[in-house]
Amino acid sequence: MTLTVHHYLILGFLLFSIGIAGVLSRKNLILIFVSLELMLNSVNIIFLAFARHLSDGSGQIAVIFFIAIAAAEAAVGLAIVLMLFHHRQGIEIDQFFKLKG
Amino acid sequence: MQALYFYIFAVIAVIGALASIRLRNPINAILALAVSFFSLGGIYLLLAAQFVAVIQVILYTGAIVVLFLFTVMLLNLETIPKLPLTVREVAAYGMAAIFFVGMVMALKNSWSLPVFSEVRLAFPSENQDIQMLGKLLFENYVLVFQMVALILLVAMIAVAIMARKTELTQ
Repeated sequence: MTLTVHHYLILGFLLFSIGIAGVLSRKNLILIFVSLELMLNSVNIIFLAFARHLSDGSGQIAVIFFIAIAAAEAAVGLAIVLMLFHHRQGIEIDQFFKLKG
Repeated sequence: MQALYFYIFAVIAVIGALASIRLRNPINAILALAVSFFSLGGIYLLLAAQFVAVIQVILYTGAIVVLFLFTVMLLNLETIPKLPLTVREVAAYGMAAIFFVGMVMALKNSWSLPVFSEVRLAFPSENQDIQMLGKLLFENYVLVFQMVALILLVAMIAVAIMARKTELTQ
């Protein structure tokens, strides 16, 4: 069986949906970030699949940039989580419902 | 043969993803995510994206996952207690299922398009991945490259300021 683009697309969609389920159901802020990274990876698969099947190398360039941006975002997000932890001594999102510190 | 590798890597990736959203120990959930990322690197190799596969293993599993693990160990998070299924979880899984079905339905007109069934490569030859990527990166996308470098610099400065040692507030 030759692999078509649809195989990779279904895999990407499945991982994206699992990421959505994780982001919406987790209460710990760091575990929400983990599911967010899963969603970013699913988008990478879809971009690479189309880069290959449309013979366009720009998809791989896009994926390189997405990985770099995801790294920057993870670093900044985790620094914010650290500051929240020092401020409130907890990481559950249920306790962050007031905008005023 | 390629289909066999694809299914092996895909099954491992999906099982790792499911584990990472359900495990109650944060360290175990992040390690399941690392397993998933490794098999995604294998899938990138199947897509003839050798450079991106190596970047995925080095950067994603080797730096970002390690960053997550360090943060979890720094905050000393505990295992989440085992609770019955809450309304929030059921609604989340239902919404994810609706999203998945919706996205697959969006594909329904394109199953028979020939452009999607031919086996092609992203670059003219399979061994020219890095040369062609370098050519694209530094000729067509050099501005984006500079901007991403600037973003990384800003992120580094922001993290250095935010993660400073401050006095304990009492």
